[in-house]
Amino acid sequence: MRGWTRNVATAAAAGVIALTASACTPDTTRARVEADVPPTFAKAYALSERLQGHGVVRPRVTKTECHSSVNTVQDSGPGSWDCELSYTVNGKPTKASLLILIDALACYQALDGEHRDDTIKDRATGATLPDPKAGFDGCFNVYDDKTNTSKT
Amino acid sequence: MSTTSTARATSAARDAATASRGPGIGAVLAVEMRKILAQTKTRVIALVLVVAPWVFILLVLHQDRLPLETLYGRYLKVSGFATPMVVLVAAAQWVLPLLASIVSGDMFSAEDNHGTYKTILTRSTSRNAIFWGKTLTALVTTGALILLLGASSLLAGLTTVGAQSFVDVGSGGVSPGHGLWMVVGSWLSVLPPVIGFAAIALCVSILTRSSVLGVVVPVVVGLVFQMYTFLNAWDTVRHSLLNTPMNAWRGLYDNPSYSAPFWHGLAVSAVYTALFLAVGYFAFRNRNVTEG
Repeated sequence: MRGWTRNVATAAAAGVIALTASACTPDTTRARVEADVPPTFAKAYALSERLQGHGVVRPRVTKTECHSSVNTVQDSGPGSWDCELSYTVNGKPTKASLLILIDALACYQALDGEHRDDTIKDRATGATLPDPKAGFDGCFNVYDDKTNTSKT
Repeated sequence: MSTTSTARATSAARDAATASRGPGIGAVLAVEMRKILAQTKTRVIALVLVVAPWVFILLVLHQDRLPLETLYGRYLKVSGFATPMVVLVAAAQWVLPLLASIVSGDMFSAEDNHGTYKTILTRSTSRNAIFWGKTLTALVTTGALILLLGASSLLAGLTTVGAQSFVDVGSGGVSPGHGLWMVVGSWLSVLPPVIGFAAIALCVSILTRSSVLGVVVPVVVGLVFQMYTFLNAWDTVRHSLLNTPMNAWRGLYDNPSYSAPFWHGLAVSAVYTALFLAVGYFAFRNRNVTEG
């Protein structure tokens, strides 16, 4: 009986230690945000161009910098983030400032502040739609190894 | 040997004997399904689940603004496949756990309320068959209602908007065929955590013998889980809560996709389901039938 109690106590202690250790890594990290936003932006941009009948136009993102507006010390966690993207389209350099609203389930809505209400006309259907590159959704994998939360 | 343990041994022996010759789980399932389908409660819920997505998409189409803060919300007027996805995002938080609780929360306690346990537990059907028959009835009914909501949402979207090419969560365009697969897969993926909530409701229904608690307790549990999520506390703890797997499909249909949250959520759902069904099973098996 005493051995059984000791085993349970040991297992419980190990569980608490493992939980505490893993709890130190937040789901929403700067590395994950900076890894997911640029390719999603590029696809949203391409989708916008395709819907407008402009053919295949895919921007090349050259620089990305994202920071949490909520947890400015550790640069992690859900809430509001600001991302500055530099990209080129057909060789022409351009910049975008995106507001990223990240929920606790590691998904987000990205909004281009100046253009968030922009619309485009779907060439195929004639419908007026919100411009995908001015606002798009995304999610990131919280079980990957992108755990860096460094501010620099 | 005590009187209680003698009674349990006798009950177990009788169960073993009747299991081989009496009506089995299938017979109980058939009877319970007939009972639950005849209930006004079930029919009203089904009607609401069929009508609600149509009202939602018609209201969206009638206004200029879109729910941009919701996943897939910006594509509600682009493709009909967005309708079931937006409905799922919204329903996963409250509606699906509530459905599981309403269906399962009085599955066992209703017999207490009607005083019919003496009747059913002293018949030729074993307690084992009654437990699993009732449990399967609750799970099948809950699953059917959820898929009914999904099917109605899909039909509403395709009818009012159309089956145009869809957009995944990573802003990649997908064909209508793949869009259909996304809708079906995402709705099926929420069934394991919903079964977990149903298991909690069934367990509470057995332990408390109260239909009110059977329905309310899982809803409160879901509420507490939600509050924890909003608190932005330890993420590791949140991964072990039953509401997190409700959203695991998001990764499956991201571009590029990843399945780790889904498999983790499946394991979490399995643990909740096994734990609460086991507690309920042993409480039901050892129940003193003379109490009514």
